[in-house]
Amino acid sequence: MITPNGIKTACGLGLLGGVFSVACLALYFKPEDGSLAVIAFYMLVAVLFFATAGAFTKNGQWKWRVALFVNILTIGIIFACMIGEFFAMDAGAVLLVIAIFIFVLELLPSSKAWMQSEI
Amino acid sequence: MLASKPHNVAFAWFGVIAVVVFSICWICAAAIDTTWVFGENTLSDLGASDSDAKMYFNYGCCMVTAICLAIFGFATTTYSKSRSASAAGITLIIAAVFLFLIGLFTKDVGTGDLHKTLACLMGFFMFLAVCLYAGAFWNNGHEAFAAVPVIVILALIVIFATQNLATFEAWSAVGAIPFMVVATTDLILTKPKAKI
Repeated sequence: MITPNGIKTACGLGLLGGVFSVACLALYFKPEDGSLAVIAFYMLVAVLFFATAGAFTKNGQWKWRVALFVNILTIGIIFACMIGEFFAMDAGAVLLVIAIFIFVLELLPSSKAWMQSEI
Repeated sequence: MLASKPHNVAFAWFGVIAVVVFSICWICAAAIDTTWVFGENTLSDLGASDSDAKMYFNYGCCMVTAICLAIFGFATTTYSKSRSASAAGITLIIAAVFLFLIGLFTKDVGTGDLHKTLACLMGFFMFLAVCLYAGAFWNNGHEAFAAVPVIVILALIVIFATQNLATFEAWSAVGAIPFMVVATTDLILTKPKAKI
């Protein structure tokens, strides 16, 4: 089955989100109390983005529903970290937009059909 | 002979009515009682107000909303096919009962301990209902809808950990609004198992 453009785009966005999260981790690092929580959350979001990107590859590790759930968790964690002021607002907004785009792309019928046929 | 049509769509609108009634009454109560401040005063302070705000909150936000939520919960239990949806509906009915009692036993009744207990129980069962509804959306094949309760729960956990009770309570009420809209949509889209 030919890989739909939605899947390729979602994979690219997942990688972009992961790289951007790691960049934010370095950018917003401050050696003070509470920095461990900030580092941990940026790292968590980076890991979730990379894992989500991996789901959009040939013979990916997850079924469609699992990938969708992980993406929903990613959105929730980014949103919660923005509210808790663990993330800078501008960085959080960029990450949130990337995650929402991936969510929308994942809901496309072509993406769902492709992912369900790969496993 | 006309075939009877299931009324899940009609019952589902009680979810929207609950949201509308709650929102309007809360806004009216906050407008009347100018001493109430979002994030500094709890919602229960509106129920114990010296002004007419008390009527809007107790009758509108609590009692009428509770009745609408209970009807919606009944509809979820009756019309959904999955057990998780049935459990979610029953839990919502229990939460609605406690919400009704909050309107009856306000903060200024006795020492206020009964009110606090009822509020905690309502919060617990509402949280449980939201989690069960998220599972129900997932099992009904409406996976995208499950995003709303998951995101709301994660956001509220952070607010609970970082803000005061008044802020958490107010944002919980705000967070319940998109959840109820999504739950209503899910019930409208459900192919009902019951024929009533």
